[in-house]
Amino acid sequence: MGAMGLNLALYSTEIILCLTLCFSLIIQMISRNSTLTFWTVIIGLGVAFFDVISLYGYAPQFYFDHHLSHDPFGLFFKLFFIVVTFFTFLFGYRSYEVAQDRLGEFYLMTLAITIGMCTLVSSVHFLTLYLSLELVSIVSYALSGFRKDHPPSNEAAIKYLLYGAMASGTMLWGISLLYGLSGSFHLHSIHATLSSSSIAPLPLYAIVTMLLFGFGFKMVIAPFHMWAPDVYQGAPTPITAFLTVASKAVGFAFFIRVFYTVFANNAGQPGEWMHIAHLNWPLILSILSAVTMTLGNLSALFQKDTKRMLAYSSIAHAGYLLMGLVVINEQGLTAVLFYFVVYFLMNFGAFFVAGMVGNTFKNENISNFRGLGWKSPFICIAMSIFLLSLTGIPPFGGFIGKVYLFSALVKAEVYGLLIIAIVNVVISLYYYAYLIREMFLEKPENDVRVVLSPLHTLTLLLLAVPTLILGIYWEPLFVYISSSIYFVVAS
Amino acid sequence: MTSPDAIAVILMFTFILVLGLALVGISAVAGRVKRDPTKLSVYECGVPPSGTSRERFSVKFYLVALFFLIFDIEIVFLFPWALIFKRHLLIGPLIFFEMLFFLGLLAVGYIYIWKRGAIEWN
Repeated sequence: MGAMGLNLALYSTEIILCLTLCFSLIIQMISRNSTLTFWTVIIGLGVAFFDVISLYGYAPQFYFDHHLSHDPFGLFFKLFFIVVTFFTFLFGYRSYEVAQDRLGEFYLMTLAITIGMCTLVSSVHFLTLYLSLELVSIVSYALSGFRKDHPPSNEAAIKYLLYGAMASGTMLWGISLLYGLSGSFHLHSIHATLSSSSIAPLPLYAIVTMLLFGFGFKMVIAPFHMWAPDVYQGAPTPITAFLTVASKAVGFAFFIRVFYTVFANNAGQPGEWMHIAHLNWPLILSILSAVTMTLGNLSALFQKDTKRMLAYSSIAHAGYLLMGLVVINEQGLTAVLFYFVVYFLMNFGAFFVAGMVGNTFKNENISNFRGLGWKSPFICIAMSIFLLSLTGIPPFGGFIGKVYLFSALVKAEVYGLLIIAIVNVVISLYYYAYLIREMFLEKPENDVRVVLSPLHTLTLLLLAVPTLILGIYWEPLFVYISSSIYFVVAS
Repeated sequence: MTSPDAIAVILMFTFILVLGLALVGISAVAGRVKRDPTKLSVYECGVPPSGTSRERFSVKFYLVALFFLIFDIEIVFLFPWALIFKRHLLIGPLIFFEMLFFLGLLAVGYIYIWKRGAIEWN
């Protein structure tokens, strides 16, 4: 019982989420009471949250036969995913885009994705990584097509499926080539093989390209981003918000784990990495980051649909996040994780407001926002907070996040990328400010107001207030994140 | 660039490219058919074809096949467990309850599809 008990204890978060999934499904089938089901999943998520906090008491170690790694990095992301799922359920409650008689399935699929994500951020073995990645991806395809009667949702599901299957297959080919080169699936063994023997650069570049296809698909970086605007626009807005934040975070998390463990040496002091010889993947990343940012920002300028504009803006933010990974040191990593927390608050908030306005007007045009600031001030002020934070204007959290990312670049003297990023921030101001102008500086055309239920008002407050506070007092979060970038090193 | 690993990768990519192009290209060039109305019509045992070949059929066949697949994979997972069961039972009863949990999860799924009416045949 000893070793197995420890394995199960360290895996307890996923087991609790699994039990919540089952219970919520049974309760939805028996009682058909959506409020009861909702509270079941909320309680289940709360139990999982406190369970992750209790897992901090265990020492960093490998478990499940060196397939999974228990370390602060994984625990941070597990907390992150549980919080994002919690807000997704708050968003989906009484939302007209999520069919209320199929709420049990919605909770089931979202919780299944969360379980997959929690396993994915802990995996240090390529098979477990691929297994949990497929769990996340395939259920996301189904979830993006949740509105069966809405053609854009069906289109989103098909596009996501086709693109994801292609990306997954290419990535799997890269993994098998890596296995052929190194003889092992375990990240640390592969790293030992790659750094000890000298391998020609061409196979390594081919492998990195193929891996980037799969990883880049999840991280939504150009040129693997083509699915994102259609999927984010077509999927029901609660699910879009979940995908934009959580799916992207898990992409970055397992990218960090794989690339920083396999393709980088922990040189000198802890917190400094050096890419392995002959394989300058930070250079590839910096080019991809520049292309992603520019493409996302320039495409967002021409959008007439709120969700599509926010989708392109989230692609641009993936570019900003990738900047932090180009400088392979502790500062960049801390900046990326910090930016993820702020990005969750502001992006989820922006999609939340877009979803609430879409619920009222039954479509997602930007022209719905015309003059809305005078009729529904609370929701528009919150939207302005989120938009200004997304641009990176003080005193909101987005500014602090961008400061950390840019200072990591300055410290590593990567000035070209920095200039491109600053130009992109200026470009993005146009389409964010356009929405604010529509809300407050235009006369309303009709008398339609957006009315929020108390639960949704509470959610909006829970998202907007931390965005404000994090722009002024972010020290505790930063300290917590600095202590979270510790991966378990092979013993 | 002449290391065996590099050559292996280049060779693999070239082979895949050549194979794909050859299969499609040769059949496009050497397998051209002269179209003829009789040759293109649907085969129906020699009689002139009547009606459309694309009839609607019920989705219940697809559902039954899908459920069979899921529960068949569940049984596949039972086999290796059964082989090591007796040996691991000496260590403790955990191995029994683990499989019980797995079967329980699939039982929840089964109850779901039952209550949703997906195994109604009519």
